[in-house]
Amino acid sequence: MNTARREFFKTMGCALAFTVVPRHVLGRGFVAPSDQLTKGIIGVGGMGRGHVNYSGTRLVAVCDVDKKHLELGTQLVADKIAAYHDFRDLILDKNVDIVHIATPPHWHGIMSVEAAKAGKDIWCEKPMTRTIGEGRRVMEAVKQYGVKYRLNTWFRFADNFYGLGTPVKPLKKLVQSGLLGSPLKVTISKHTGFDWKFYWTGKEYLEPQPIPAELDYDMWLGPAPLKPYNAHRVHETFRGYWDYDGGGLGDMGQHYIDPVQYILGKDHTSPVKVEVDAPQQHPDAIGTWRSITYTYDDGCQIVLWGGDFGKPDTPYIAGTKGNVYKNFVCDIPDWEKKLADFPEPEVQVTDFIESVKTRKPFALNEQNGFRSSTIVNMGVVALRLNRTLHFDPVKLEFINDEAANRLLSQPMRSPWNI
Amino acid sequence: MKKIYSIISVFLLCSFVALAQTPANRTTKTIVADVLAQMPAERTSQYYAQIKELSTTGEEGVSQLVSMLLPPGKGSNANVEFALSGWANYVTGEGLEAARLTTATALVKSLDKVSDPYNKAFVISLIGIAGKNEVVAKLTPYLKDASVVVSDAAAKALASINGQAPPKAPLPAKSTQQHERIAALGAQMAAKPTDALKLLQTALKDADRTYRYAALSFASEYATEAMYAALVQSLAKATLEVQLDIINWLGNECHNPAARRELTSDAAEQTLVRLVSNNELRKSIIQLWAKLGGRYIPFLAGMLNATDETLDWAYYALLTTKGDISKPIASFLRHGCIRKGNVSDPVVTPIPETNDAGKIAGLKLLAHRQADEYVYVVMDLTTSGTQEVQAAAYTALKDVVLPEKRIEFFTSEMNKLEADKQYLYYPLLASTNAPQALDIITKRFYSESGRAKEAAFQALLDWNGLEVSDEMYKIAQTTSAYSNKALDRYIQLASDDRLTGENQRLQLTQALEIARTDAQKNAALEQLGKTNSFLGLRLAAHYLDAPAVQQRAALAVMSLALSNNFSGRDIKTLLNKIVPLLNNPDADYQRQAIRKYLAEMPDEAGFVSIFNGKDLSGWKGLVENPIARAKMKPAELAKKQKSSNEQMRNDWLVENGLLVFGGKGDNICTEKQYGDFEMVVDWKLESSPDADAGIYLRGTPQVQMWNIARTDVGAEVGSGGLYNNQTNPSKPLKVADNELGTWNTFYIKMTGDRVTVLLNGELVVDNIILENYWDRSQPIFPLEQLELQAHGSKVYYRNIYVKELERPKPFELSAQEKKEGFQILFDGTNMHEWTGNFADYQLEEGTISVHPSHSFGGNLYTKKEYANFIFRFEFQLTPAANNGVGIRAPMEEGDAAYNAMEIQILDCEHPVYQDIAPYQHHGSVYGVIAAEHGAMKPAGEWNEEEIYANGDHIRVTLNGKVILDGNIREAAKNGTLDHKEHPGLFNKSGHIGFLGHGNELKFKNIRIKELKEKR
Repeated sequence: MNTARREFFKTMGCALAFTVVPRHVLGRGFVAPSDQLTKGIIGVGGMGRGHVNYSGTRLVAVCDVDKKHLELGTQLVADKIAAYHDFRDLILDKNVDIVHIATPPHWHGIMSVEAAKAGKDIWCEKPMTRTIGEGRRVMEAVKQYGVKYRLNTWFRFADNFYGLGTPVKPLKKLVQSGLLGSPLKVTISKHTGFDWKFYWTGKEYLEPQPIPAELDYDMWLGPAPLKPYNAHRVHETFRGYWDYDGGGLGDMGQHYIDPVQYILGKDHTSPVKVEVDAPQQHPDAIGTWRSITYTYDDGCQIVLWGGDFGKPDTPYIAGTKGNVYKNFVCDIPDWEKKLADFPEPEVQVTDFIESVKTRKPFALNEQNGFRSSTIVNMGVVALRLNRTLHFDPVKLEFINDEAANRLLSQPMRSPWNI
Repeated sequence: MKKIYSIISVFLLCSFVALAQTPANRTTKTIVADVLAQMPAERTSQYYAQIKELSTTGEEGVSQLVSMLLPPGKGSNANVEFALSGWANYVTGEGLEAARLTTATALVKSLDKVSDPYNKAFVISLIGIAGKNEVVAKLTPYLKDASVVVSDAAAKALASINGQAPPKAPLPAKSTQQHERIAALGAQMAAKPTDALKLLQTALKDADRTYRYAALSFASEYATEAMYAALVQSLAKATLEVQLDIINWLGNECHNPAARRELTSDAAEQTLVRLVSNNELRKSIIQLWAKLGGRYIPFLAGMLNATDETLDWAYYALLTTKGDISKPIASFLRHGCIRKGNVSDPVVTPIPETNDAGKIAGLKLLAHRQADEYVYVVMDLTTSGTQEVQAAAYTALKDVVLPEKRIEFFTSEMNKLEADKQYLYYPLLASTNAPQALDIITKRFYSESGRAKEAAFQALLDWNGLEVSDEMYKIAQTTSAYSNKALDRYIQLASDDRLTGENQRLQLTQALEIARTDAQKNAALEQLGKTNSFLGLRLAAHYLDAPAVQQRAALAVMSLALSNNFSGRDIKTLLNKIVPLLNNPDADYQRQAIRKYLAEMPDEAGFVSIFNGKDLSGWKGLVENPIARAKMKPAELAKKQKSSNEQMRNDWLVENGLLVFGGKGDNICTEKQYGDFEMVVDWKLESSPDADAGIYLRGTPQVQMWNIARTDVGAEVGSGGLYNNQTNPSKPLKVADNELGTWNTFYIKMTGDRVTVLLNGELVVDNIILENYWDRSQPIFPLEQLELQAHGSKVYYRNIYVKELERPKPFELSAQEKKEGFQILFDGTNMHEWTGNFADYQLEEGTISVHPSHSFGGNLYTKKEYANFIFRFEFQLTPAANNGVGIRAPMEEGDAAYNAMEIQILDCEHPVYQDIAPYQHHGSVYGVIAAEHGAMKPAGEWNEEEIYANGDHIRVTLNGKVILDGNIREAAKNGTLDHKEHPGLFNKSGHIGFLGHGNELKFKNIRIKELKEKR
C-alpha cells in the first residue's frame, strides 16, 4: 500500500479515547477502499507457515534466519514473493502493509517497535513480549506511530473457550451481570479444562553441537545471550528456555488468561500480587510449577494449577453468589432466565482488516494485550525468583523488590535494543 | 528420563557426603556438597532453607561452587547453577543486605578463577542479579574482554545494575563470514556426495571448531560404514580437539545401524580401548559406549573400580544403557565389587555377599530406592559385617523404612535388642521427628550412662526440630560434660527460619547470658546479626569492647543497622565506633558501605532508652486519668503526684536490671508525654494462672498482655490486642505469645489515632484506631504519657526504648472561619469524625491518604449527616487520579453519583482523560452539571476546594475560582447530561463521603459550616 493511502487510513480513522468511566466513543463510520491489503511474515517456522490463510490479505514477503524454513516459506503461495534473511528488510519493503510477527517471543518486542517505526500495522503472535518492559515499549511505539496492532489469540471474541465448551461472550455477560457476586476467583487448571503443556520444559544441560549450516544462529538469538548451540534451544523446543519464552505459561498463558482478563473487566489494570508454588527454577531451563495465584486490588483472583494439581471439583469461576464449572455448568437456579434481562457485552472490532481500514482498535490490541501479557510475565518473574511479588499496576513496577524489577526490562545483547 | 537423571545425580553426589552428619561445625565443603545433593529444591521452604544454609559459607562457598563449573561439553553444571543462581536470587530478598554484599563481592572475586567464557558470562549474570554499585568498578573492565560472550554479559549486568538500557546504537549488519563459509561447504557436499569423506577430512584440519562441527553435521547425511571406519582410523593421528569432535559426533551417529556395526567391530574396540586411557577423551568414550552397550559393558563395569570421577561416568553410562535397569545395577554390584556368582534377584541378592565397599554401595542404592520390601536385607547388615557396614545399614534404614512406619518399626526393633545395644536406634528414632521419639531419647539421656548416654545426647543434637530447644537450653545451663555442645546446638536452633527474628533474638539473649566460651559468644553474635532486631543490635553492642568477640559483634551491629535502616544518634555513634574495629578481608567494602549509610542517615534521635536498668528515673506514679488530671489545679495535681510517686516506689522495683511489678499497686507512668512514636519493650509475665498486664498508650488502655490459658476471660485470642476497643477491632490477628513465664517482645507504633503492634515479630494489630476509653465521644488524646499497667500479677520489663516520630501540627481554623462557625472534620491527627474504609483511607503525615493497595473496598464517610453546608478541604492528586465527594449520601452500597450526588475529583488535565465528557470533569456534579476547566494545579500540588450546597443550589470553588455554579433541579429538568437516572440527586441530607479507593490521593484540612436552607 502506498504511503499516501496509509496516511489516508490513519487520518480518516478516529482518535481513540482512553476508557474511563462512561466510555466515550466518537464512532463515525466510513467506507474504506476495497483494495486488498498485503502482508509479510517474519518467522516462517511452524507457527508462521500455519498462519497464512486469513482472508482479506495477500502474502507478498517472508523472512527467516533458517534457510530451510525460508525456502518452505516462499512456497506458501503460488505467486513469486520476496524472501528476506533480515527482518528489517521485510519491514522496509514498500509492498508490505501488515507485518506479521511469528518468531519466538524474544524477538517480538524489537520487531513490533521497528514495524511501528516504519508505519506498518502489526499482527503479532502470542505471547506479546517476554518482558513487561518490552510490552510497554510496544504499547508506546504503537501509539506514537499511530499504527494498528493485533495480538493473535482470539478466544475473547471467537471459538469455544477450551474447557468451557462455549464462546466467551455468554460468560462475559454472566460475570458482567453481577449474578455471581464479587470478588470472583477463576481457576485455570486441568480440572476446569485447561492444560499447561508442561512438555515445554528445558534441559538443564545441553552438549554444545555444531550449528546447522542453514541456520544463522547469531541472528536467531538476536537480543538473547550467546550460549553454545544445541538443537533443543531453537525451533520446536525453544519454549523451554527463559531466554526466549516462558514454557507452558508463555505458550498458553495469553490464550487462557486473556479471555479471563476480559471476562473480569480487567483490561485496563493488572494484578497487585502474584504468588507461586513451584520447585526452584534453573537459570536457563524452564521447569514446572504447582500453582500461580494472581490477586487484583478488588480481591478478584486468577489461580493457575499446573499438571494434575488442584481439586477435581473446582469451579472455573467461583463467586460469592454462584459458581461456573467446566462445560459452562452454572449452579445458580434459572440463571439463563435471570440473565436475559441484562445487556449484552459491548461489540468489538474482531476483523483486523476492518481495524486496519477503519483505524478502529482491534478487539485484542496492544493495550489489553499488554495487560494479559503482563499477567504471564509477572508469573515468569515470580517463578524465577520463587517468591511472592507485589505489583503496582499504574507504575508497572514490582513493589520493594529490586531483583524483580531488574527482570522488568532486561538489557539486550549488543547491538540490539528497543 | 528426567526422573532417573535426578535420582542418579543425587546418588552420585552422595558419595561426596560424609555418612554420619553432625550438624554443628560442618565445613564449607560439606555444606556445599549437601546442598548440591538436594538441588533443585522441590518446595519454596526447602529452597530458602537450603540456600540460607549455603549462604552461611560466604565467600568460600561461592568460590568453591564457581570452581566446580565445567566448560560447555564437559558435563552438566545443572546443580551448581541451581545453587549459585538460587543464592544470587535469595540474597536480593528483604533484610539480607549484608549477605547480598558478601555474595556480590565474592562473585566478583571468583571471576578471576573462571577461564571459560560461558561460565564467566554465567557468573557475571549472577552479579547482574545480586550486585549493586559496589561491583560496578570491578565489572567495567570486562566490557573490553577478548570474548564477546563475556563482554556482552558484562554490558547486560551493568545495565541491570544501573537500571538503564545500554546506549542505543543502530541495529547491526547481517550474517557473518563464517556463516558463508559453512554454507559453501554444505553446498559442495550436496553437489558431490562421493567427495563427502574427502571434504570432511580436509575440514577436520580447519582451526575453526564451528566449521569442523558443521562439516561433521553435513557429513551425517552421506555417512557410510566406510566413512565411519575411516574416521575411527583417523582418530589415532588426530589432535586431541579433533579426536573429541569425532568421538562426540560418532556418539550422535549411533542411531545409524551402519555406525553401530562399525563401532562394535574389533578394530573400533581396539582403538577406543586404547584411547580411553586418555583422561580428556574418557568421558566421551564412556558416553559412546553407553549408547553401544553390548561388548562394551564389561569395560564399563571394569571402570567401577576407579576411584575418581570415571566411576561416576561409568556408573551413569551403565544406567543409561538401553534395557532392563536391573542389569547394569547387577553389573555394578557384581563387577564393581569384583565378585561373581549366580543371582536370583539381580539387584539385591549380591549385596550381603559382596565386599564392604559393595555392601555400602548396595545399601545406599536401597536407601535411594526406598526399597521397603528389602528392609530385611538392611536389618541383617545392621548386625553382621564390619562396623562401617553396620553404620551404613543404620543410615540406610532411615530411608528404607517408609516414613509412616518408621517410629513404630524403630521402637519395636529397638526393644527386641539387648538393653546395652538399644542405643544404636537412637539416631533412627531421632530421624523420625516424632514427639514420642524425643520423649524416649530425652528420658534415656537422663537415665542411661556411658555409650548409651552419649548416643542419646548425640541424637538430641541431631534432632531436626525446634521442639528440642528447651531441652538443649536445660542441658546447657548445667555444668555437665554436655553443656557446651548443648549450648552450641541451642545457638544453632535459635537461627532457625521458623522462628521470627525477634524470637531468635530472645533465645540468643538467653544463650549469651550463659555462654562460657568466646566461640559460643561469637556464634551467638553471628546469628544475632541476622535477626533484623533492633534490640539484637543493642545486645550485640555490649560485646564491642571485648577483643575476642568484638569482630563478630561489630559485624552484627553493622548488618543489623544497614539491613534494617536503623537510624538515630546512638546508632550513629555505634557505627562510627565499629568502623576502625572492623578487621576482615572485606573490611574495606564494609567501611565504605557504613560511611555511605551514615552519610544518608537522617539526623534524628531515633530510639531512646527510657529505663536505665538501675532506678526509676524518668518514671512517676499514676494520678487518676488524663481527663481528671486536666481538670485539676496545678497545686492539687502536684500534691497527688507526690503521694502517688511514693506509692510507685513501693509497687515497682528494679532488680537485676529489670523493671519489676510485684503484683500489688498501681500503674507506672513515663514523666514524658508522647504523641507519635515507636516503642520496643521486652516483657515477661510471672507463671501464674491469673497473669495479666498491659501497656497504656497516651494514658489510655491498652495493649493487652495475659496468660492465654485464661479462656474464661477470652485470653485464648493472644496478647497484643487493643483490649478496650469497642467499635474498632480489639482482638489480635493471631496468637503469637511465647510460653508463659518466658520473655516476649512488643514493637508498638502509634501515629495519629492508629496503632500497630508486633508481638514477638508477628503482626497482631495492623494500623487500628485506638478508642478513647475515658470518653468515647472524644478522639484519643494527641499527647499523653505511656503507662505500664498494674493488674494484680507479677510482671518483668526490660529493654524499653521509644522513638519519637515527627508529628504534624494539627490544623486550626482561621479566625474568620471560627467566627463564621466552621467546624473541623479532620485536623491531621485523627479520623474521629469519619467512618468506613479505614484500611484504604489511612492517616499519614497529617493527611488522609488513599492507598489502593489495601483493597478492602468501600468509601470514607462522615459519621454525621449534613443537609446544607459549606464544605472546605484541600486535596492533592497523583497523575490520572480519580475520586469524588459524595454529598447527601446514604451510607450504603451503590454508586453515590446516582443514589446521591457526586462532585467529581479527577486529574482531568491528564492526557488519558482528553476525550471525557464535560460533565465528567473535575468539580462537575457528575453526569448533571459540567464544571469549568483551568483552575486545577498540576498533580502533586495541593488544591483548595469549597463545595457550597444549599438546597438545589450547588457551587464549587477551586483555588479561588468558581468552576461550577448551578441549580440541579433546573439542570435535570429535561433529563440529565449523561441520560441516566439520578434517583438520589434531590436527597435532603446525608453523609459526606470520599468515593472510591482505586487511586492514590490525599486530603487534608477538612472543615464544614452547616447552613439553614434558604429558598
